[in-house]
Amino acid sequence: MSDLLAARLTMALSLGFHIILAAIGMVMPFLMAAAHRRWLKTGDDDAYRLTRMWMRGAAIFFATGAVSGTALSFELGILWPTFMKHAGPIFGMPFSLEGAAFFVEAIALGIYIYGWKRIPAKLHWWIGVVVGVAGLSSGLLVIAANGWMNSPTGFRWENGQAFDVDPWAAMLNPAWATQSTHMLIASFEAVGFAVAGVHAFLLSRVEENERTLHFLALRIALVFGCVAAIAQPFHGHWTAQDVADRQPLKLAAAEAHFETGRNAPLLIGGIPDEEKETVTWAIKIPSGLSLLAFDDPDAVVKGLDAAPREDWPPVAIVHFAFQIMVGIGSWLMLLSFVCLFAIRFRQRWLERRLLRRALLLSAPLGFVAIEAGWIVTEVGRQPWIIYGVMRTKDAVTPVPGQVWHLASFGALYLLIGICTVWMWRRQVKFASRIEAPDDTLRRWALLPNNEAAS
Amino acid sequence: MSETLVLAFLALSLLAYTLGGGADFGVGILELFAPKASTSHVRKIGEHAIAPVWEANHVWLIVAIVILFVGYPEVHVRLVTLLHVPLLIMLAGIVIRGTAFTFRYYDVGEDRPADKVWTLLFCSGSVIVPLMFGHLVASFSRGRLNESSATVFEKYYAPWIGLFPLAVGVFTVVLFAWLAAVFLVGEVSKQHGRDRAPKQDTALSLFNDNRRQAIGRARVCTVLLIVMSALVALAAWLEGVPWFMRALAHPFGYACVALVAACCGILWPLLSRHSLWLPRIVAGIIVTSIVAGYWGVSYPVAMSLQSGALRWEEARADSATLDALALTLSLGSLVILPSLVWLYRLFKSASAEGKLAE
Repeated sequence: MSDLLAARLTMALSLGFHIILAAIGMVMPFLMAAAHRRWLKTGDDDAYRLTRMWMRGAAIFFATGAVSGTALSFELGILWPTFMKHAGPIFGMPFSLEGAAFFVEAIALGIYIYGWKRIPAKLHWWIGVVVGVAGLSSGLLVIAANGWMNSPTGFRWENGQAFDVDPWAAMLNPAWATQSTHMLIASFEAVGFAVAGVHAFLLSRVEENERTLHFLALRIALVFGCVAAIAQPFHGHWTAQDVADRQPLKLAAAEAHFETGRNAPLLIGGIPDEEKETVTWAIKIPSGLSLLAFDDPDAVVKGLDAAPREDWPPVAIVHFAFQIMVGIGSWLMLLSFVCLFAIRFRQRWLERRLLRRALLLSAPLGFVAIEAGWIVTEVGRQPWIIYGVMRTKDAVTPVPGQVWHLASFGALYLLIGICTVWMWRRQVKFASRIEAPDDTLRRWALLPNNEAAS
Repeated sequence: MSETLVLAFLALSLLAYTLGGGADFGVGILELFAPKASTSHVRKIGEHAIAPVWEANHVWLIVAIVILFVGYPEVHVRLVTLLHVPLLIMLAGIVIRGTAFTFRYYDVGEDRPADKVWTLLFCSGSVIVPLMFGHLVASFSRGRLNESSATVFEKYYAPWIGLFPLAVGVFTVVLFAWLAAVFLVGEVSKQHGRDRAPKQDTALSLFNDNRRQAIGRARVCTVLLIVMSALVALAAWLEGVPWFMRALAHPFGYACVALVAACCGILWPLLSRHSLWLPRIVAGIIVTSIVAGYWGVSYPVAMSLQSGALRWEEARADSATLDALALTLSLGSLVILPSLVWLYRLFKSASAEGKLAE
């Protein structure tokens, strides 16, 4: 394996691992705050216990995400030193702001976890919201840096050197808005459905007196997941139009669109052959791509043939990843309509086996879609590390033997992944041990005592 | 102006990481080397002490690396290529230790089947990270980094393998353990009910035992720290480390050494006094003097290469970038420092009750 390929795989692995933890870390605090708010409003014991359960989950995933994120901040330089040497001073602002946001998140989470009964109850709830907002800000900021790699701005590039650097213009790059919000919605969608899937599964496993808790959890998680899943395809359409403008080759690879032309068809599925420039087994919707990308069935859509082959991204990988992402997005949107209808009008449906099964099977899909989406973004940008400016092969570390780096960190992440799943299963298994709030806690939260309530 | 501010933030984040992160790692080191009988006690007070704050402490390291790659790309590019091996070992240590700690701390149920594995990973990670951190610091000042070396070994291994880096690595391990040991003396008192000694006889004797052991650990670590300081100086002298040669002719260096020596003398009797904050403040002054001494003697050199010194001003990014970086760091610290103080205060009052939220 070449050092370049090994370095790319190591980066993909580190990012792919971190992105799951980051998404969970961004969204869990909001689920937690929603359950918490319900407890403060209604005094419902289930809501309190659910808050504590989700708080533990958020804490565990946050800690794992914090260390994998620390590793990532070093990996950028270790794998791509030439890139970081030139890009660091240009696209570094979001990273330094992200440091502040991450700090706030870590501090707020600490205050939230240890703040029960120690700070005013209302303030305590708000601190929980701050955890989520700070997490989202971190995510939005980091994606500004990635957006810059797709749409580099804020500098002039001459003879392999950057001049007239404007770090603020680099941060406010054109790709940032679509990319970061797309990921934000995706996180809510993925985590909402993952949590809903788990509680739908538990609903059928736990004892009768625990069912109300999981039913509540299911409804809260579904509201977040479904709203995001319904918004996402519309947002994705906007994102794709933006990509069609800025990075026509990325869109062409995603759609396996080889020939530039009017009335470009939309391909669903299919196996692209890069050598022969054909796609087999695809369903073709005439003029579909032109219509989607430019709101005009007669619009010219640039194909891969608009660029020399050496500038092509790997077509098959990008196309497959894109199809997977869109497929999952469409499925989750359909499921969302059903679930929202059920929550509003037919709550009994949520207890039906069919819907529970569907939710359980859909639990990992959001994360699969996130990974697929990042493959579209990152592989679709190839062969560039800074689009149109620096090629990935020119940015890779001169250090030989990258395959060992890949093997050791691959083993490490695999092991941690296995341990996390095992650990998390134990958490679920012992979740029923979380106790109902006692009187001092209820008094602190300005709720009537248990006796008084009953 | 911006450049001074950015460098000050870099120094501050390294100091904060040494103080906060150092005490975190030290807890794991102490647990590893504690006698079998007191392991569980060390573990308990250690966990209580670091659980709410250790992730926040890690952010200082991220801040430092971001300052380097945004503001001083020429330093960063050499760090991540020439010293990538100790850096990767350190990263693996950070990841393993952090996850193992979280898993051990948050595990539920009585059976705890993997407890021993987490403990092993957490403790060994706590030693590996400071060991490699020390190697990295030593390599910056050792003057053997060479970008034009021919062989892989010469280029990527020889500069950080040797007597001086090893001495600094072990020194860092001892420093972190010592920091935690001094900190935990106060924690023992706290967990037995604020600063008062308990009233019942059995509780009193347990409290006295624990306290005596904690003071003993802190004193052993103090002795080790002094021994290791001497060994670092000896190794530096034997190897002719450029940084050490500068230090010998540097009045600020002497001032810092004198301050450290004086503080160690003050700390010794202070440890057995029933005072929570005085020993901690003295320990903080010692660490600050060590970091300031290293930094002050090195300045304006960022990195000693075989071909000569790389100075901060030669390694810096454009002024536009440094201005923006100085601005974001200042704004960030306006938010972060007060909330950090709040977290520490809140958590300290929490651990005083002995039982944490979980």
